[in-house]
Amino acid sequence: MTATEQSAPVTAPTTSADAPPNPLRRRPVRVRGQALATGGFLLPNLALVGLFLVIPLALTLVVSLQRLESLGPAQFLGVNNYADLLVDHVFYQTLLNTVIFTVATVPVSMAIGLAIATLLDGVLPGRTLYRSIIFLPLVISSVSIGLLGSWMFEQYNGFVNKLLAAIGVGQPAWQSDGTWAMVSIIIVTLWQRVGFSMLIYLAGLQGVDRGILEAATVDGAGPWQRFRRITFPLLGPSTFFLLIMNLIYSFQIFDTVYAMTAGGPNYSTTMVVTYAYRQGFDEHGPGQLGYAAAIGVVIFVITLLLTAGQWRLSRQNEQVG
Amino acid sequence: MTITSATGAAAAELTPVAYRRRPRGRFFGLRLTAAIVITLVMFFPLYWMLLTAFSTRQDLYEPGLHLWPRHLTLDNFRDPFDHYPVWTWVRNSTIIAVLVTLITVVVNLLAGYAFAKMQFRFKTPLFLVLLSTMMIPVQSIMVAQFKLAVRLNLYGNAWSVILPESAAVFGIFLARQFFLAIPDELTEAARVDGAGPLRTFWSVVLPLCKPLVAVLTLLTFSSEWNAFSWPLIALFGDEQGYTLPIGLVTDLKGQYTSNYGAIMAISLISILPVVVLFVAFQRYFVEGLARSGIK
Amino acid sequence: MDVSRRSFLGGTAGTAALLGLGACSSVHSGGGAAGSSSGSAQTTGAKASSGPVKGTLTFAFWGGSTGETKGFNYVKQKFEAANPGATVNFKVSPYDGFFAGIDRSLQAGNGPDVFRVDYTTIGKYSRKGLLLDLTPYVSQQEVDGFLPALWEAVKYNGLPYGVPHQTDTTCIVYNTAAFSSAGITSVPSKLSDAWTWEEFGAVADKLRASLPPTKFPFAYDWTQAGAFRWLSWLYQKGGTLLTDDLKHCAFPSDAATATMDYTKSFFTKKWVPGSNKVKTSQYSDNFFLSQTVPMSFIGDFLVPSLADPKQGYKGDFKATYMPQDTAAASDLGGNAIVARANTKNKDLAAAFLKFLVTEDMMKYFCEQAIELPTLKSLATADLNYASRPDVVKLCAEQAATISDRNVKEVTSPAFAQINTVLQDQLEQAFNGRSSADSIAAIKSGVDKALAG
Repeated sequence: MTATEQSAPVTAPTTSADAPPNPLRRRPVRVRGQALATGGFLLPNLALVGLFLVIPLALTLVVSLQRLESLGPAQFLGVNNYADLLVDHVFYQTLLNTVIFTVATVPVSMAIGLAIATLLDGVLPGRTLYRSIIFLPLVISSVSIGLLGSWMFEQYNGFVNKLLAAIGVGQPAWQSDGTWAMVSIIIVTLWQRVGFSMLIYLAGLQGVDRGILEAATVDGAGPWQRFRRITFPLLGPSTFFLLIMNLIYSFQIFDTVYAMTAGGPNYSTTMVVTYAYRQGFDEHGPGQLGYAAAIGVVIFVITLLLTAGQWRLSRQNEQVG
Repeated sequence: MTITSATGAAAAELTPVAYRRRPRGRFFGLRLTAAIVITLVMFFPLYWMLLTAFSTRQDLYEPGLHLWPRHLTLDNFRDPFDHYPVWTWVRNSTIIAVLVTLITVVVNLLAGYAFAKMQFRFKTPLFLVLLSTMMIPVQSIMVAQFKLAVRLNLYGNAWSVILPESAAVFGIFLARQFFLAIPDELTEAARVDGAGPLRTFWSVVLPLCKPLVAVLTLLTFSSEWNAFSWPLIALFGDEQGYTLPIGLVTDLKGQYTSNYGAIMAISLISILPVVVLFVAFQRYFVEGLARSGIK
Repeated sequence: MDVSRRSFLGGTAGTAALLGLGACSSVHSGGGAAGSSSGSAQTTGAKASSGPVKGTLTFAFWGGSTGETKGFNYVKQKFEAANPGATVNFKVSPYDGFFAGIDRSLQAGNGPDVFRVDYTTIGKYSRKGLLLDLTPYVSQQEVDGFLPALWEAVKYNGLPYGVPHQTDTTCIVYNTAAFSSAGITSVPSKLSDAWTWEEFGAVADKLRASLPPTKFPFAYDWTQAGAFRWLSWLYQKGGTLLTDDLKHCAFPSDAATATMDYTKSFFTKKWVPGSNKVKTSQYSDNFFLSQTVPMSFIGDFLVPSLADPKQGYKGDFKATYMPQDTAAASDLGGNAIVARANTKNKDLAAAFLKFLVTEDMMKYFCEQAIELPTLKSLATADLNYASRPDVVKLCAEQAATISDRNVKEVTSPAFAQINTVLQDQLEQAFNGRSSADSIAAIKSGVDKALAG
């Protein structure tokens, strides 16, 4: 297939950012022209990133030290925003919500994804169709998914409660009970994200050596044993990649929550990023931009720690593997 | 790097050769049933969106579960179009997504090429810094981005979305890997023939990179079409400037909470372009998403 | 059918208070950081009568109902006809998020020249000096034309920062068929006969017994920025939110405890849908429209959407009064129109504001939007309401129960912030936090807001 062949170069594995040394470097005559060219190639992207990501990041630090209301001028506060944050119990609640949401979505979506991948890995009529449909929710906007979720979990007329009523089971208060509201968001997110794990695991399963599995079968290992002792360990890199990607996704979830529950009832589905938005920009929030910036800094630091953790773990992984 | 090894494997999935040789196995019937059931369950919510969009309000809010449409209607489309500038939202979404895609793909290709084929100081650190900006959540810097947009006199028009959203780096990563696989002899030969760097890039390298451009274009377009967080802040206040997701969540969700038919109808319109692109160019989507983890 | 608004000004104590409020407001410093920006030394009415104006103006408002849109379009047309060379551009967005958008655009310096703001929110802008001081543009005679309480509502530090455009209040709408099948035969048809809390409770219980578990007796309009409508219950119980000098929260009080217990019981007794709390996107009219409740507390401005033949209410509905306890009370709804302090063409903006509240314009607007006028002359006039005049008539009577204390509290400059406190704390109270804790939390939040 042409598409496959053409896309092959994209997949060329490389592990270092440095290309092999170029002999041109030693020719001083060309250095200037080359520097200009390099600059020209790099500059547009660097300028955009610098202006709209790096400068705002620095500016966020500055604003986080200010009292800045949605209408007023800024006033220097020092670390007061952070001090307030330390005693803001709603902030802790939103952190806890985020942790609960992350812990509930990441491993489960990976487990389901792995199960589906194992199921689809092999000869199966219509395999591509199944894969596409399971993957489809991932390309749809989270806003539409959140709206769809809020409709399906609508407490009185939604599909879920109508179904539960039809089979004679009690109908949870998905919208007015905080715990059930969180459960509904988790279910919707799982539906949306399972396809991603499935896809990566399907790819990972391709890399598992069939010979080893056959040898294990000959040695009398059952299907579960083969999976546990051989397949799963060999999927290590996929699992690791998914863990990081899903952790960051879940930790930063915003769109789905905003469209589905807007953080309610009360603060029970307010995530830490939703809280930052509410403090700074939401109509019904206090309009405290400085405080929102301080929360933003905390979010950034946590993301940084997650990423740093990834680096450490990946280095260890490489040493082990 | 682990990201590379995992995605390398993801790409291998694109080669379906391995499957043909393998036998059906013992649990074939069971597996087939399970696969079909799972697929149906996964598809069901989208079916429900479709069903809701074409059902009358009466049917939607009546007690009892009905899995099939009873009275089909187009009212759910008509009413929002009559009362809200939905076409304007579609137009805004399209303009913003197209411009962001154009800018992002061009600057990412250029930067990716520099990182793959050019030598300069601090290359590795710069690359890592750029990559790590991928991890900055919008909500972290939204206050400052807002202040900046105000300072640059962008606030209140589409550029306040287009420019910040174009500050993307994930394409650099994809592009660099692709360019690295192109042999140096090719670029060197072009240089010997007297071609400058830009010309080499444009006439020699780029023609070989159509799949890369396709992946980048599709992913950037669909992710921008779906973009929500920053546009919510930047476009708020004037419904003539909204994109589809903003209009859906602010105008329509507020107005039609007692008629989800209308919300689902416009949701359906908003997901349609991306679904069509996905069906048409699935391979590229799968590849790109597997590598970037971004949607 | 023509509706006489005479009842609004009739002999009830509440109305007298509403009219009399203007008297006690003359002494104010007039200075302050906020007021000074637009110059408080200007003479009243110095520019009250100016000739035709020219230029372009942006007017931001939320798309409330088709009636309101029709009313605003009419005003735009007439204004542009009367002032050749003047253009009014509309900037419409939904109510949800409207003020967030205004705040951002004001910060960005590209805010609308003129915008709509409710009486409970205007203080947020006037105390920051962001609104145009209308002192030079209005004559004493024009000021005297407004219902005093509503003119008072647009003032800060003694200076007017907008024009009161319309007012509205809450009444009860109910499905007649559902009531008869629940065996509720008599519904109050006179304000003095309005249900007591006990009678209202009996009605709710009857409905509860006749409805399946997925349906509920009623829904209340305290959603989001409507949180302050909780105060109607407090006022009915004889309580107040603020002390008489408006400087502190009057909690804790017996009335506060009784009100909190009573309103919390709506949820435990399953009188209202569990999702009819404060922070939700489902408003009380949504529950009514989706037939989840057969009875709902709604503002009269929602009548056009309920009466809409296509998207409106399916079934026959009638209206009745808010319940009463030791007192009758309802909320001060409605909106002022204000101009930005640094708008380029101040004369044009002021002229447009004044045009909006001319008798003809206000009359047409209120008739289309099913809302109550703010001019004395119209309050006593006959208005041709475009739909359901029976409901407006009732709301006009209900408006008489808005006491001067009520108006003073909800139009205090810090009220926008107080309303945010109410949203946060009521949401928690309805989610099960104890009455005592909720009242204490409201007190500390309100005191903090008043302290500035």
